[in-house]
Amino acid sequence: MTDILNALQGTMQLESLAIFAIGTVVGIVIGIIPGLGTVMAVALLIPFTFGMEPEIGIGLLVAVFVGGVSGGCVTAILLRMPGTPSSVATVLDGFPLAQQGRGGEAIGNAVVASFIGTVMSTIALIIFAPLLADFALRFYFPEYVAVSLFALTAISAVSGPYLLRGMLAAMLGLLCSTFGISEADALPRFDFGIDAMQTGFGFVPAIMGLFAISQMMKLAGETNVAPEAGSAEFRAGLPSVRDIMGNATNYLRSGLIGTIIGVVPAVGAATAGLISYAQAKSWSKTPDKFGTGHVPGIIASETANNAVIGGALIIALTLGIPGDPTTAVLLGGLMIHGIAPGAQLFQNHPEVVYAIYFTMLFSSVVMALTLIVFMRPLARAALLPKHILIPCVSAIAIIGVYSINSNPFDLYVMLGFAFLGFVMERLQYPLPPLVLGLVLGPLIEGNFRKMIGQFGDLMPLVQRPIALTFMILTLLTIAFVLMRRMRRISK
Amino acid sequence: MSKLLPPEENAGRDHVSRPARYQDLIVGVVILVVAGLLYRETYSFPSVNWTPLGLAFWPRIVLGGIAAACLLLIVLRQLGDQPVFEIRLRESFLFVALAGFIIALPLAGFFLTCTAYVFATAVWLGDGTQNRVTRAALISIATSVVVYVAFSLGLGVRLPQGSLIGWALGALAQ
Repeated sequence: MTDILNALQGTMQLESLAIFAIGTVVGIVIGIIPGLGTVMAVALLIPFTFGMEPEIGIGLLVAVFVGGVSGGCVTAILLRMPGTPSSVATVLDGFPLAQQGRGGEAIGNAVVASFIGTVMSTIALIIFAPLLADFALRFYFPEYVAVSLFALTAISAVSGPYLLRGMLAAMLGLLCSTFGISEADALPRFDFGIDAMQTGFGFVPAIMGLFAISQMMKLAGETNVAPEAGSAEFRAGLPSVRDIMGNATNYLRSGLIGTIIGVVPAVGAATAGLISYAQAKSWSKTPDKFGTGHVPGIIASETANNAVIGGALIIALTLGIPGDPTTAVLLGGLMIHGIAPGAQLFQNHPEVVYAIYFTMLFSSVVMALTLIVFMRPLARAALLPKHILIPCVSAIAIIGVYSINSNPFDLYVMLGFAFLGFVMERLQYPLPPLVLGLVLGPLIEGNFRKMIGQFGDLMPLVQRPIALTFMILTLLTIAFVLMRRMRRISK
Repeated sequence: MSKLLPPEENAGRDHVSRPARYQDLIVGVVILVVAGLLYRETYSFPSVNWTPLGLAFWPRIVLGGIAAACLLLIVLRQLGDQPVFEIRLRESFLFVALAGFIIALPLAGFFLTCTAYVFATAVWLGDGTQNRVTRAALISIATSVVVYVAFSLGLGVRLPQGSLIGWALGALAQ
């Protein structure tokens, strides 16, 4: 109780609330602009958190996350341009509704659905995260190795049609994490006699290069496509309590789907939205109406994609495993503040955990109010011309990375990763596995070496019940993925 | 931007255009060579006796995995609809501009570099209207001021003054 009060004392101050509110709005704006996305939004804001108390800094990043996931719905509905991939399913019914002159009603329902999805997953986070953290207290080196290996199987989920390319990208991420001073040995590796290389590749410069700068390069090469506008009708048409109660099952089912998918590493909000949409359609008495401007379709997509946030944070905070690239960046933000995710987080830094709970609820309210009140000007953000967007975002990214250590080497790292990310995307090599590798690399190496040091061999991985369970899950996942791919090839 | 080949030109091994067909082969060979060089580099790591397994143990496992993945990639080249690898002028320009910004930042200082970068990029990417230069100038000044206020005044970051600027000012004072 004292921890909760301490956390609330820090986060309930006017200054902190203003920071969270600004973070939510920044997230919404970046989420609205097609091609930017929540990963970039969170990465861009990390340098701004350095001077803040950890709970405020992390709260800001969570606020950006909530805003970013929610913002994508506005342009998905009004302009048929999902600001973020998470709103892909929202387009299916949102845009037809906007074309019928009911854009305000579509956005009103999307906002309420996003709010309910976030609140539902926050409740799940509050209930299940401490339980999982208690369970994770039983983890020792072999268990962490087994869990990390299981998390690596998530590569299959984020590799799209090219599993092998995803595996290669993940291993490149693991390799990149070995550059610089080894934590276990306090000696540098792969420094090639260059002093600056001893620091290795910083996480923020790498992420900023991979997601922000490479995206700007991609945008620069794209031709401007005039968006197809929906209707000029912008007034919010919020659903009544009766409407909400009428869709209660849809909200509940979609919230559950989103939270569960969020827990599964690396599947992400876009998949959650699509699965939830498909489920809503198959359970509906009027499936034919889906795709023609049907409100339950919007509800299913937006509730689920927001519910992913809480689910992803459950395993990120308790086991240190990123649920998606955005949570990977969030974990990087935690570590920059000297806070290690995992079971110990709940014991050593409860104020950070409670601040995250509080921020999720607070920013979901700010998000709903902002989207309802400023719907019209926010939608215009999507039309920001490239010749303003690209130089401004890249300048902020460069100065943001420089501000971490005032070290020009970080900027070269960012540029290198930008080129790598750009080439990989162009060659259709997925980026999320590379981020997974970067995050999980030190975790796997550290625990693996400690396990071998203590036990002498790999046997603890199959002798200890929890480790064995995760190893079996890993093997089952690999077998399932291989079987599914082979079946697809044979078809 | 990369263009997708029509299905009839790209449906199977015999019909895939040359750049698409050899994409994975080239990537696999390049990464394999780099992995080989890095593997050799692991032998130059200092040996330690205070931790088990040593510095090179984990990187060698990862490099082994990369080599295996590359060999598989070379053997099982992904075919089907593949975009032809192509880098456009605008993308190259932005990369060069970014590199210029990063190299010039410690030399010319924040204000000069940031303003010049934003101005050049905004003009280059602009819509070709007559007032694009004026607009780019306004955007570049506004961006530099906002970034300065946010990072220097707001977060207390010491933005680079520029060694060349300092030297030039010193020379002028003398």
